[in-house]
Amino acid sequence: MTDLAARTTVIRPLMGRPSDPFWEGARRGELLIQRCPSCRARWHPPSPSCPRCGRFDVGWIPSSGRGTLHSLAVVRRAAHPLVEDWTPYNIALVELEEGPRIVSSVWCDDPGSLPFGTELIVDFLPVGLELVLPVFRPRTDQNGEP
Amino acid sequence: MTAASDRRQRGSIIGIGQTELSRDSGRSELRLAIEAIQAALADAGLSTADIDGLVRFQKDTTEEAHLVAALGLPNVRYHSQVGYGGSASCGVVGNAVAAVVSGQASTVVCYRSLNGRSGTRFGQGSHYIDTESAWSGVARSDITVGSPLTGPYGLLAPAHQFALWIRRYGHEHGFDDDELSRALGAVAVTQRRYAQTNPKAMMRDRPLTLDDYLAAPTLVDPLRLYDFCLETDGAVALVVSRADRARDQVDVPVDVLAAQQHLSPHSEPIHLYKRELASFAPPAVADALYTQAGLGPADIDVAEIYDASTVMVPLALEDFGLCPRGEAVEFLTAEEHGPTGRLPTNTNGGLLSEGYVNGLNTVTEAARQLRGTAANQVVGARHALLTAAGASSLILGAPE
Ligand SMILES: [Zn+2]
Repeated sequence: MTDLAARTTVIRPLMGRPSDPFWEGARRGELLIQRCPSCRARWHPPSPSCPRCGRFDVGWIPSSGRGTLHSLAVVRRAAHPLVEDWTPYNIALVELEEGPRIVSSVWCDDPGSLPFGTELIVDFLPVGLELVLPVFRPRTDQNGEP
Repeated sequence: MTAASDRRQRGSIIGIGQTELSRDSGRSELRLAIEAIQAALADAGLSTADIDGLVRFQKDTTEEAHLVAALGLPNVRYHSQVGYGGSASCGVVGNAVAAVVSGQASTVVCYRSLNGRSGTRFGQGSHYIDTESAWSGVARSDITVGSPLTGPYGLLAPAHQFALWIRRYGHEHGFDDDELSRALGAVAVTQRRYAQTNPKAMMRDRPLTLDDYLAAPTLVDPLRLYDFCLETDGAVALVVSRADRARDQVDVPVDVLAAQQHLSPHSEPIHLYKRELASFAPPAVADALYTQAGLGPADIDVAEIYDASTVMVPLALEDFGLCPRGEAVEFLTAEEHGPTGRLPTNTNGGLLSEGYVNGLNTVTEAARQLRGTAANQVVGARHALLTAAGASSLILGAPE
């Protein structure tokens, strides 16, 4: 697996979308999810109103960044020329301790054999000049490079 | 079983049409649609003047207005569209039934036409992201594949989500990737065997063994080349009428005993953020479908399951009670979906081996089974269950 810093290609998120605060937060080193100030529901991906109580004054809060591995798959054939440089790479679904799940990538040796349920912690890795990608590492792994 | 008065509350499929399935049709999607519709009308013994409704897949590029002009349909008074790609494949029939039962139309055509190989290819990342240069692109999709939240991580193909589903399934039920592969391989191999005796199938001359399956390149763990549907040029159409009128129109109407479209939070195909990752729909969905039909899982003689990937077969079998939760791997590894198994499934070869007309060819196969005219006929088939990833589902019945 190529180190993120060594990647020569990048896929950026389209901006001007409801997901903008997620990426702006990542640049500040925050993993943001949405929260309702009224009923305290927390969810991801974002929506304009609270899916539990219907209020519109919803906001974003930083997640603790802790979660567990819900599913993960290692991509072995590039679905686009831009990811040939990354392949093989993994796509993970991480369940945050606040409840919501987010799509990310796990950064460790042999991520394909990591058991689901493994405790993870977020890390923020810059890709190129504009994008900071929240990724996850096993929590036992958090103080050192894999 | 069904009183004559009940037939006014029910729809029937009275005509089916299908073009040849190929990698390069050499003609437009509009032309393919016309050919399939003409074939379905001929099959039903109807003329263009009989058609007063059209239901299309939202994804289809062939617009109703263009078809009305090209076919010279003088009497259309109802048209509607069903969204979410192949999840519309059972939903279009449900919409047509709603139209004929409510009286908004009497005879409705459902169609799907695509140059899915020579034209737009849905399995490719380029469908979901914009390439800016040789080193950068923008994830701009409105669906879960290639969205601004998933594309930057390289989630660029439906295949990636299928892999996330089945690996979670394996975790929940205690199967490793090798065990999953033997079951998914059994789906691919058995459906290929069905295709070999289906003259319409694109893969009729291409046998596949489990060794071939296992030796094929992995696209995303644990899914290999043969875990994915074909890319196909072709079109399919069918005609729906009210069940009481259908008796006067054709000899063998196929009754729509139940129809349903399901959505729950984040269940939209292709699901990713749904709480139950390794399932399409909660038990209430199957219960409602069976209740509507007055049947149970034991009454189903043949299953036709939307199979953009092999992965969809075990999930759908379990969601609809066709095998117990957690037992689909054993069911498939034991070939219970084969011609001599407990529940013959995807008997035309499915989207994996007949061809990919976005699942409407799966519906016409079910109709053939219940007419008794399928290439791989299940003897005495009375009831078929169809589901497109739980998002739309049907139970069809042979005429009593
Ligand atoms: Zn709320």
